[in-house]
Amino acid sequence: MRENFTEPRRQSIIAILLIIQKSLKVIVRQIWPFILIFFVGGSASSYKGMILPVIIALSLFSTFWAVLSYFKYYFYIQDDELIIEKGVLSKTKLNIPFDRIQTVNFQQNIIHQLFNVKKLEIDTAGSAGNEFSMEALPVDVADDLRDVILERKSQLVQADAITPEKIENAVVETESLILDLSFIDLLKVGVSQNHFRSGGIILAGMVYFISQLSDLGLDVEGEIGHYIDNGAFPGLTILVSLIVVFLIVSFLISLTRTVFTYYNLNLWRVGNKYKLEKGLFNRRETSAVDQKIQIVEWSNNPLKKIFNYFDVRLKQASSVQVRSKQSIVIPGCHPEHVEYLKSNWLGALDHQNLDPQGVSIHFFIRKLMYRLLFAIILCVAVFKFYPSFIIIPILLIPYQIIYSWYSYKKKSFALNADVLYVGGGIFGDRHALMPLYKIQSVSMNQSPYESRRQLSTVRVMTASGSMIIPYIETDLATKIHDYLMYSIESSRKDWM
Amino acid sequence: MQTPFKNIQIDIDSLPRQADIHFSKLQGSYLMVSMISLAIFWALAFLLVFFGPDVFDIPLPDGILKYIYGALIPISIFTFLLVYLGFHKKGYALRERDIMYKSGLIWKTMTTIPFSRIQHCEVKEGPIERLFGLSSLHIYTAGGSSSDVDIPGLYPQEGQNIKRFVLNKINTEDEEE
Repeated sequence: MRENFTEPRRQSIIAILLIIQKSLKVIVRQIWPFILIFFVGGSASSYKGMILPVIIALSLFSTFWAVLSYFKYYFYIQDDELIIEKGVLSKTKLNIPFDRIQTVNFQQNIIHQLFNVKKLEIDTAGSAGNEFSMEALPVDVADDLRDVILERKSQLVQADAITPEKIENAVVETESLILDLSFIDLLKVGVSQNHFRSGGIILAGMVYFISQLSDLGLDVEGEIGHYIDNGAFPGLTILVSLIVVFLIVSFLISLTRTVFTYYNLNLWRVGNKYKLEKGLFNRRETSAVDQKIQIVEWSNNPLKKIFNYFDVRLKQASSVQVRSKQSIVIPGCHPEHVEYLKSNWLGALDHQNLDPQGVSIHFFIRKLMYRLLFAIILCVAVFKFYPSFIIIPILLIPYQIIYSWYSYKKKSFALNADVLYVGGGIFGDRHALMPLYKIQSVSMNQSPYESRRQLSTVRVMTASGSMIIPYIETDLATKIHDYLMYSIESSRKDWM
Repeated sequence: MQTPFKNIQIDIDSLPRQADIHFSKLQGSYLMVSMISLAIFWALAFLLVFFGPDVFDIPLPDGILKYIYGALIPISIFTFLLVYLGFHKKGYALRERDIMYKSGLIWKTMTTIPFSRIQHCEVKEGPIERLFGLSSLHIYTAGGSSSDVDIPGLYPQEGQNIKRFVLNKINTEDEEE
């Protein structure tokens, strides 16, 4: 039996808990240094007496606010629109017409999972780039609401469809499972992550943590310096052991993070969209409609190459504010999965007959010049101030040469009547593919260096980032520009 | 009715070539607008160097000011030269189905936006532009700011005309479908 959504109704009572949790998170993020001071002490401990009352007051207020906003929040369906009425002090009424709704996504964090509720996120089309969400709905109500919206929406689309192709899209809603990541796959994905990146995040986090504490008057740097001065660790040993510990910690963190985020990942093809479910404590269900995907990217790194995996990124059109949220990442795809994803998305468009070409050798020379210049400056600086560590920047020189060489070697592009392909990568491979009719605009750029050598760079802009063909002969660049313009302007397909 | 599917082979050399396009120059008085904006920028910069150290209480080594001025003055003259020469490199062109804008003396760029990808366009007038009776046309696409185009140095009437032309094109294209 379907739920009836015509009467105004509230969310699940659990929403109160979730609103409180959300505002507590914000509060904690703002004042955690003070809380730490409360326990540790420091020169700022003169506020100590104030801290506890302030925390209690803030918590009470946010609870009160959560209860009020829960009771003031209603939603219902009327005339093919989802209507949300909310607001404690100023009232807002949001009308979301069904035909503007692109996808309905779900999210469940640990509290949602405990109480069997879901957070519902509605993604709408249009340059406004608005998203609407409901904190908590009982699982069956949420599913019903989604079904009601999407079914009614496809009826509306059919009614207004003139082209046979649109009707076809609306009727066929078959579900097929494309990818189901087993636990072993998940571990492999975790092991093959870029651990340097998670290491970098940890470092940045530590620097932030220390600067926050120093702001409050704790002399962190002094304390650390004290240990070092005492000769607890002599010179190079400290460095090597720190690096080893750092690498192990980075490895463990990125492994656990991967397992948590991608736990029990399922990728489905439902009608004309991809549906992805993943996550352990925070479980998400996201969908991407074919029309909204502008670019498909697939990439690997040396470790992923061994396991024969690619990370696939479905880049969706979005306004600038929510750009980062709009690409769906699917790790652990074998080449046949990538092929499946591409072919279903592109449909009848030809993406097989592509003949990738390289770019000018000047791309390598230019990159190498910049990178070597940087390395040499670093060498000089290190030699002047820390002569015993000179080996580190000297090792950077061959690295820079290899880096520039591979980034030149792997840069390639290909174009046919339907699609544009750009390849790249340094130690791994990175590929990007898009149909020509999704191009927004094209620009040709020349730096002075390129100008002297009759080279140009072509930038192809889309609604989800750009694809760049660097350092090709100006003649060819002009032809590509003219051809791209011709194919956009002669195509009748909507980019979304 | 849908148009029958066509897939004619394209002779690349027969496509409309951007190399043959004649770009319209911006209005001459726009050069004054950019010069005045640049002059204001440098005036503020020099004021900051002159009064900054006293106001913000930054101790400067003796005699360093003359080196700062010695560097800033040639740089500022150079930027005026760049703006002057760069002005003549700017231009726009309207074709049947797209609009192009080029600029850049040292780093050259040329962007083409098909009418069918334009989200909306706007004619704007800045305070200095208004003094010279000029306006600029901003063209927005869904590709974000990197793919948008601003054409400065147009008479308001010119800006409105281009805008009307573009919007008209968008509407007729929609009707054809």
